Parts: sequence; structure tokens; C-alpha cells
Amino acid sequence: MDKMPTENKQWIENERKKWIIFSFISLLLLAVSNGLFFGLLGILLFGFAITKMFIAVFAATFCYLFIIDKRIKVSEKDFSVLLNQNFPKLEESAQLLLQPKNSYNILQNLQINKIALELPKIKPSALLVKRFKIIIPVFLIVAIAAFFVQKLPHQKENIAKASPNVSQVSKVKDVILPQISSVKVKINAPTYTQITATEQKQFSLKVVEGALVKWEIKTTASAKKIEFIFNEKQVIGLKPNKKNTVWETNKTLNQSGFYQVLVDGKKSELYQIEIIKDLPVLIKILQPQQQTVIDFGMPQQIKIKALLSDDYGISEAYISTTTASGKGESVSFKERKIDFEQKIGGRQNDLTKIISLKALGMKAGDELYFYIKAKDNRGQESKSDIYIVSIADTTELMSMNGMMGGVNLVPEYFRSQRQIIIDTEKLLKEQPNITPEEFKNRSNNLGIDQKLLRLRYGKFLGEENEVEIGATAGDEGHSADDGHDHGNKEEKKFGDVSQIMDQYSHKHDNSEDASFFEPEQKAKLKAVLTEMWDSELRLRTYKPAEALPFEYKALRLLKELQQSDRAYVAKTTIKTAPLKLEKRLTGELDKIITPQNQKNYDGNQQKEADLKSSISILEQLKQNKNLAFADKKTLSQVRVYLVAAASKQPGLYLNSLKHLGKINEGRKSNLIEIAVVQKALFSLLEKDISLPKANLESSNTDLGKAYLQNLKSKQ
Amino acid sequence: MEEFKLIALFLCLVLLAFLIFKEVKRSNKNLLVLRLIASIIAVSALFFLNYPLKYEVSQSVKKEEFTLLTKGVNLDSIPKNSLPFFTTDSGIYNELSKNKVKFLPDLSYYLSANPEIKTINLYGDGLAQNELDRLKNYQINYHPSKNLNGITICNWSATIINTDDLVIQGTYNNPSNKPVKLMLSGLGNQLDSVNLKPNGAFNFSLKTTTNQLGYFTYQLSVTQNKDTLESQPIPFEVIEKQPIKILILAAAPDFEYKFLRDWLYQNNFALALRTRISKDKFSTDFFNREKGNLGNVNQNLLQQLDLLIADDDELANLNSQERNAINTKIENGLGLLIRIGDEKPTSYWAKEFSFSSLADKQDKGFSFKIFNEENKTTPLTVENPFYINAQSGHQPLVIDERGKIWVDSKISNQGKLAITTIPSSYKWFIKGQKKDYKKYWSALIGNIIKKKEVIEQLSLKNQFPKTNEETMLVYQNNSENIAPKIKIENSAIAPIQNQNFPNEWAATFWPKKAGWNKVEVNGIEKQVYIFGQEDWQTANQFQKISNNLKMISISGKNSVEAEEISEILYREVSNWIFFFLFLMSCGFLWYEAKLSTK
Repeated sequence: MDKMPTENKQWIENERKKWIIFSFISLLLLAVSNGLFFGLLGILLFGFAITKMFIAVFAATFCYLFIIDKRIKVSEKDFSVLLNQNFPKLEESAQLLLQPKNSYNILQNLQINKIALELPKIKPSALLVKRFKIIIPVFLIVAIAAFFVQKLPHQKENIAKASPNVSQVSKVKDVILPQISSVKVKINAPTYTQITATEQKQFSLKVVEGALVKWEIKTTASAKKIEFIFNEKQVIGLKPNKKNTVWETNKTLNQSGFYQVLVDGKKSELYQIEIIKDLPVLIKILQPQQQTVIDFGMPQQIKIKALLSDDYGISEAYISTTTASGKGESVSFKERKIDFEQKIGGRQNDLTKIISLKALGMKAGDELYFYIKAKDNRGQESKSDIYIVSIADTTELMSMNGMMGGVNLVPEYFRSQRQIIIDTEKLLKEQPNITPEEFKNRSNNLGIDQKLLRLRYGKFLGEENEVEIGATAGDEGHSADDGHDHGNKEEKKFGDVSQIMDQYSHKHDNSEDASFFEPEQKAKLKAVLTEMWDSELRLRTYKPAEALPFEYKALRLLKELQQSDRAYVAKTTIKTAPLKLEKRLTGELDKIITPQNQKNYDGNQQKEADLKSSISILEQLKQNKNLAFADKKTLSQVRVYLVAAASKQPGLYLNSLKHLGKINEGRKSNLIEIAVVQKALFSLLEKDISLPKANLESSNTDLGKAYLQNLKSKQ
Repeated sequence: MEEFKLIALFLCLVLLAFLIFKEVKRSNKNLLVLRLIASIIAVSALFFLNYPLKYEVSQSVKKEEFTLLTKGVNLDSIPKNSLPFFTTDSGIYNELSKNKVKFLPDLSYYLSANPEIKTINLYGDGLAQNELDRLKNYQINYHPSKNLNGITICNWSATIINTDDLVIQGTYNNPSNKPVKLMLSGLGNQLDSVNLKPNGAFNFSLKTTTNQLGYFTYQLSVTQNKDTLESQPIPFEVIEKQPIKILILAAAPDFEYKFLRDWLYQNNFALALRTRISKDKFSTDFFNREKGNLGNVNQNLLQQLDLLIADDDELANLNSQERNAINTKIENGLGLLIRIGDEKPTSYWAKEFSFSSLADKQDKGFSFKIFNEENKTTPLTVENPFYINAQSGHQPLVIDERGKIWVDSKISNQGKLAITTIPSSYKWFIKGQKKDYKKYWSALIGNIIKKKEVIEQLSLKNQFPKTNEETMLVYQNNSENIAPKIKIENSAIAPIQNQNFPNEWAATFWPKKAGWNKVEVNGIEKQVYIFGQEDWQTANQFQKISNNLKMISISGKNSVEAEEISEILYREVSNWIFFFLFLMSCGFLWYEAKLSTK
């Protein structure tokens, strides 16, 4: 009983500490989550580094919460109040536990004894569970998201970075002459590439095109002369310091190849020079199509969308347009340079531009040619393909030009569509002056005309008509008792089998219906019919203004059909005078000489022959044979070809050139080295080798011949 | 002996007749029947005493067995009761001497010393040919080694014409349950590979192009999970193409000839082209050959020719003399390719083919399947399409997708005739489909061109000749009756002429060096490949086993597996029986006479 108050005080103190610790943990988690969340936002939206953003936000949140949050700094008294509020079992007496033992009165003592029994059942930390239930899932989600974002390849980061991602590190391992103690190679890429200067301690180079390379060679002892030999042709001497131990030179490298270091006449092995080429700007036009026709009624503008990319940077890009207007000999061209809406720069540009054709002064029938031209920051130009945009010429369609001159191949029915258009336009013009009913009536009539026309063309395609063509208009709305005579309907002949069968049969392959049209023409006709359908629909719903574009398109397609027909017919009309066969080949020919021509082909046969035999020589070498003098000569001849190949593609051929050099010097090579040389030489041989060749037959042919003779005599 | 036997028989019968006569005449007839029987028995016993009675007996005999182990044997597969084991292979003896294997230095000596041995149980890869020959009179129970793992059969042509493909085909036995990969490599390249499934024997085929010249050794290696199981050498020789001479007779200049001419010229073919430009006026071109007179087609002009290409019209223009000259050359192997422009053949040769026109036009053109080519060509437009009717004895070279023949060929004596109805293959060339153009003309020319005779040929009789084994070198040439002088690695050997083919000579030698061995024939240096002891072991093993099985099945002695066999014996009935019978019957006759006299 005596110990109880101190124990109780201890209990409340412990619980308070627990409370503070858990509160602190929750605060920490909250700050971390917040930091990660903003870090994620930063990396995803702006490409900032996640760590910087995280540390900043975390620190700020933590400090703020630490100052604001009172849970961490809760006093014993406040804590007892908190307990009283949350646990009714304490009966508002928690603060009694804090009082010193001696100060209890009887009532207080009784109360303490009462609540002391309840104390083990009270867990104040449970109050924080709710808080953790929210914080922990949030923390987990943000942490997992951050983990994955961090793992993903940072494409966006690369694009956003100022300097391009070009590695100038050659992966080839060098063997350096013993006379050289160390080498320092400084690579200064051209400034436009924005690549920072690098330094390396080996000879093999992998540099950007146009890079200035500076060598500094330290020798173990003073040397008399150090030279570089590039591609076995160009020799560059190095400048020494006073003691002849440090040698220097520099060179701008523009071509792949290899070089060799010569120290006092001693040759090193070959070192590779790999050049990373600067590519011109890549232009991709996403919109419009390569050929675009703007029909009547369509907005007279085009939207150009293009994607440009370059390896170091784009300095300039514009659209070059040419408008062609006029016909025949009076065609005039106008060129213009149009800039994009966006600013050009960086390594990748999404560019758009809306060009108003009217602003360019284009009329119906004119054409616009455009291409995109771009320059990278090295000054290399590149051009896209030429794109064509043309405005459909309605006046051309309406003109009678084609019909007047020459042979009139155009059947009568081609004119009706034009008539419908004229009527539609007339109707629209007169609309304010006529009653709506009359307008509707006339629109409907036009629709009927359009239908008739469609049915007519449908017949060419072998489509089934719901009604006879000529009869359609008249029959519409007729019935048996409409008050007028329907003419003499043909009496059904009794017993006419074909007529009865016609009633029930479904005729398709009528020889008349099988049209003479090419599939291409048929497709066009079908397109015409679709346009007519659309036009009819609008006319019948009293919207002639909307029908007009479809009418025009139908007419344009019809016109095209007509043009293709004309070209085909015109070809057949030429006739030549008949030949007089008896006069052929009777001219005097004595003064005609017989031309003779002789030449011998001298391509690269020597090279091919050398390469072929050298591979065989190397095969012999594999067997440790001593080479004949002629073989050695062939191998040294072949080296010339390999040097030429290696200066173009050092990565492929330099290694084999090294090994061939070893073989030519008479040093012993292992099988793998010889095979490497063979591989290189084989790849230099012509690949395209399918040529006719004679089959071989056994030398013992006399027996066969005798057998054949015998067979023949038996027959 | 037989005569005496007959005389004896006759005498016995006479005696018997006399005795019977005497008995019958005898007054006392009480025991006549018994006496008669006794007389017959006595006489016949007398006869058989001299000529003993023989009878047949069949008897099963257990044979003496003998167990012989050869290389590749698996001891677990042999029943233990067949001890002792013998071997003639010192390798096996060293390896298995603990298992009571006895070594025989000479098999035939041992067998003749032990004539009771009649059955030989042969285990392992079997015996060499010469040893097998000596065992013809023995019954051999052959138990070949099982579970050969590796390349059991492999073939390729040892001599390849430059630019031809090296094709390696064979069978791989893979008893393991993992797949294996076969890889052909050479000249530092991995050239071709194939994956083979586990559990079973599978055929494989590997291919690579050649463009080099000379003697080469490629490697065929087998890998399983990156472990190399075996690596075998593939030696072969690439020889230069034979030069080809072509003559073209054109009735008029056209693009087809122009492109063909340029293509042949650039590929170094010797070509003469005669184009008719007017009546009896020709324009002539000579490419990669000396000038000559092409005005008249005669024997002289055709002498060195391998192929004649001409259009039907131009062939019809030839006079009969020229026609005869061409015919004679075709009989001797010349190839003739005719280009025909319409369905009505006019020349003598084109009339051997018949044609039909194609009813429908094809705008897209025709895709052709060319003889011996796997892929179809890209479409080629043909303006007046007509095709060749199929005939028996003809070989189509180019057909279209529907199986219509566009280029047909037939044999005419030793030469070949071909006709093409494709008028403008150069369109392939223009369209950039040079591959199709080359394929087309390579197939046409290659198929009908005169065959080139191999002047001399050197080969080894075995497929895998090895060091330290007797090897036979076979040499063929076209100059008969002069023995070639052959030196192998600088030591001369003497060849023997084949009795049936006088142009074939053979010589045996014992190669010492693995790899390419130098062979000089009449001073010209050549090379033959000798394999090392470790090369192609499985293939050799397989060959030996099948050889043994074949030999044993021919002699038909492997069929009886029984350990005992039945034998027919002749036995004599003992003389004592007849002697006893004779005594008894004579005694009875004597005693009966005694009794009756009493």
C-alpha cells in the first residue's frame, strides 16, 4: 500500500515517455512522406533530383511540425488531463497520481486505491493508433512510388540536361611501348556540341567529329624523336621539352582510322581512332498527309505538325512553301519562308504551325508545296520530303472545256451533277425571296434529281434498283385509285415460263450488268455514289447549303473518271501506214560496215584473286608451314587492302591488321589470331557471288560415250 | 564294297532259298514254321555280321564358346558366366586386366590351336574387315556397343567449285536428355548452327558459302550447355571455276541482250555476240576474248564453245550447213538456249517444244520459281505471256505460281536444249532486283552449259583415313596407260592400275602426319587430309559396327542364339547281337534235328 503512489507515478511517467516517442515517430513519418511526395512531384513535373527536393521539404516539414506539435512537449499535468479525458475509468483522478505521497487525504487515498486497480488496463498509446493507421499507408505508398521512380531510366532527365549524352571513352585496351612512361590525352570536343573536355591515359580514341586532341607523352629516358603515323600515311612529329622527356602535339580529328607511335624508330601497335559522327537534324512531319486535297466547304487552312531532333542541338528550322497558281503556260510560283510558332533550340522540338491558305493568296485550283528545312548547330542542313496541298477547283469542274474540244467522249449523264449544283446554288441565292415552303419543295425536288442520278450510276456498278430508272419519278406516289389512267399494263401471258421465273428469280450476273469498268474505275464510281447519297440526304432534309460540298465532291470524282476514260480512248486512235513487205531489206548495203568491238574486263580481279589466295595461305600457316616467298609477297600485298579498310572502319579491321602485321614480320601467331585475319579478309571479298558455272563430270567419259552410242544404235 | 555287298546278299538269298527248299522237302514237318523262321534269322544274321546294320541318331551337342572383347565394350553388358574373356586389343587388356581378361596376340593362331571352339561371342565395336574375313567358319554372336553418343554419320563433298556451297549433312545420336547444338565454324567465323532435340538420333544439315580458293579445314563442334562435347575437322578443297565461253546470236539488238551482255562481261565470261543489223550485216562484240569471224557459224567457231544463246528468228535464218554444225556440237555436249518471242516456233530446235498462250493478262506480273532455288522471285511483268506445254522427258527450269512452264529444257544426246518465253528479264535489273536477275540467268546457263571434264582427281578410299593406318590413295586422270609418279610427303610410292578402268590408279601408304599431307602427282603438288586418332571417333565406331553387322548378316551366322545345337550321328548295331542270333538259330536247328531223330 505504501509503495503504490510511487509506482503509480512511475507508471504515468512511463506512459508519458511512450506517448512522446510514438508522437515523435509519427511526426517523423509524416515529414518523410511529405518530403518524398514533393520530391516525386519535383522529379515527375520538373525533373529535379529527388534527393535535393526531399531534403528541403523534409527539413521544413519536420521543423514546422516540431514547433507546432504539442504532443511531443506534453507536461505531466497535461498528460494526466489527457488521460482523464479519454479514459472514464480514471474518474477524473489521474492528476492525483502525480501528487506526493504525503499530501493525500483519506478520500484521495481511497480514490487512488480504486483507480490503481484499473491502471494496468489503460493503454494511452492506443490513442495514437488511429493516427498511425493513416500515416503508415501514406508513407508506404509514397516510399514505394519513390523507389520505382528512382529505378526507372531517366529519359526525361537526359533530354532536359544541357549537355548531350555522348561517351568519349574508348573501350579498347592498349599496349604501350616500354619507352613511354605515361601518356595524357586531352580531348576537346567542338564547342557547339557542349561536351566538356575530357582527359584519358590511353592512346585508343573515341571522339566526337572535329574534336581537337592533344597528346602529352612522357618517356622513361630522353628520346631522340617521337612521331605519330596516321593511317600509315600521314606522319606528325611531336615537339619535345628541353630534356626530351615530355613530348607534345595536337590534331583535329575528322576521320576514323588508326595511328601508330614511333619512338626512335620503334613502332608501337596500332591504336584505333573512332569518330562519333554528328548527324543532321531528323525531321518527322506528323501532319498533314503527303498529298492533301481541300474540297469545297473545308476550312482553307492546314495545320503542320513536325518533330525535329538532333544529337547536339537545332539552330534553325522553318517551313519553305511554294504556291503554284494559274493554268497551262500562265503558271506562276511564289516562294515563302514561314517560321514555326515555337522557338527553335535544344535537341528536340515539337513544332506546329497553322498556315492559312487564303493569307498566302491561294485560290481554288492552286497548289501549295512545302517542306521543312532545319539546321543543326554545326551548320548541317537537312530537308524533309515535299508535301503537297491543293485546293479543289470548283470552277474547273463547272467549265465546259473538256466537252467542247476534240472528241466528245463524255456521255450525256455526266452533266446532270453539274446541273444539280447550279440549281442548288440558285436555290440558295433565291432563298430570301421565296416562301419557306417553296424552298423546301425545290430542295426536295433537287433531292429526287440527285437520287435519279445516283440510280443511273448505280446501274453501271450492277447495283439493284428498287424501281426502274425512267419510271421512278412518274411512279412515285401512284396508287391504283389516284384518278388517272395508268396506261396499258402488259397482260401477263399465260404459260410464259420465263416471265414466271423472272418473278421469283434474283438476277445477278446479267451480261449487260457486267460492266466494262476497270476495278479502279469501279472504286471511284462507288465513291461518287456515296457522295451522292450524302448530298441527297441533305437536300431531302431541306439543307441544300450543307449538301453543296458533297455535290462538288461527287462532281470532282466524276470529272476524274471522265479524264481517265479520255486518256484511255485517245491512245487507240493512232494508225500507221501499212508496210510494204516486198520493199523490206532491199536497200543497198555495200557501204555499210560491220562494226566490231572488243574489250576485256579489268575490274578488281587482282584484289579478289589476292584475297582469295591469301586466305588459303593463312590456312597453311595454321599448320606451321613455312611460307614460300611468293606467299609472303601476297600477304604483304593484301595488307594494303586491309589498311584501306581499317582506315575506314577501324573497329572492324584494326585488330586483324595488327595480327597481319605480326604474321608479316614472321613472328609466330596462334590459331585464333590467324583466324581473325582470315575473317577480315573473307569479309573483304565480294559477297554477291551467284554466277553460272559449269558442272563437273568424271574424267572417265569414254565409257559413258560408248554406252550412249550403243544405246542409240539399239534404238 | 557295294558290289560285294550285293554278291553277299545274293549268296545269302540263294542259301536261304536252298535251306527253305530243304525244310519244305523234309519229311518231319512238326516244327516247320519255327525251323523256317530260324533259317531266315540265321541267314540274315550271317549277312549282317559281315555288313553291320546302321541307323541315324540325332543328338544335341554343347559347343565350346569363346568371348572376345573389342574396343568400346561395356563390361556390365556381358554375362559373367562367359568367363574367361579374351581380347586382341592391348588397350582393353591394360584397362580391364583386373577383370580376368586374357590377351591374345594372334586370334587366328589361338583359334586353330583350339579347334573345339565353334562359337564366338563378340562384344564391342567389332573386328576389322581382314579379321572378320578369317572368322567365316565360326558362328559369331555379335553384341554391338550401344548408346553411341555423337556424330554417327557425316558427309560433305571434299572438292567444291569456288562460290558453291559447302553442305555438311549427317546424323547425330543424342541419348542424353538435353538438347545439343551443332556449330560449323571456319575462318574465324561462326558460319552455321543447328539445335538438336534430346533423346534420339537426328539428321542435320549445315551450309555455308565459299569464295576463297585452296585447302581449308573448318570445325564442326557440338556443345551442350556451353560444354564442348566434340569438335571435328571438316577438310575440303575449293577449286577455281572453269572458264566458260558463250556465243550469242541475235536477230536484232534489244535490251535483254544488252543487259545480259554487260552482266556476262562484268563477270569475266568469254563472250562473242553477233547482232543482225541488216541483211547479212552483223555487228559483233567480243568480250574477254580475242576477235574472230562470226559471219558464218561453223565447226571452227563452235569448237571451244560451252553455250550458244540465240533467238528463234535468228536460228531460223541459219542455213543447213550451219544447222548441221550446231547439231553436231550439241551431240558432243554443247548447250543451246533459245529465246522465243511468240507461240509459233520457226527454227528446227524450237519446234521440239509446244506453246500455249495465256488467256488472261496479269498486271501485277508473274512470280517465278526457279529450278533449285528456294524462294520465289519478285513479280516480273510480261507483255505477251505464253507458256510451254509440259512434255515427258523434259525438265522445266522456271515455272510460275500456277505451275505453268516458262523455261523448259531437254537432253539432246550429250548436250542440252532449253527454251525461254520470258522476254525481258532485264526489268528485274532495272527495278533493282539484281538478285532475281542473277538467279534466273545462273539457273538457265548453269543447267544447260556443257559439262567440264575433270582432268585429274585425287582421293582417299576411306572417309576418315587416320594416321598409322593403311590408307589407299586413288588417282584418276584422262590420259590412260601412263603410270603416274606419286610422291607422298616427298617419298615415292608405286601405284597399281585398276583392271576395269585403265585411267584409275591406286596406291597404298601409311600416313604419319595428321592434317594436310602433300601429294605430288607427276610433279604437281596437291594435298590430302589425314585425320588424327581422336577425330571422328563416334563416326568411325558407327561405321565399324555397321560393317560388322553387315558382314555377319551376310554370312548368316548370327541368327542362331541357342547354346546347344542338334547333330545327326550314324550308329552300327552291335555285331554281337547278330552273332548271338546266328548261334541261337543254328543251335535250334541242330537241336530240333537231334530231337526229331530220337
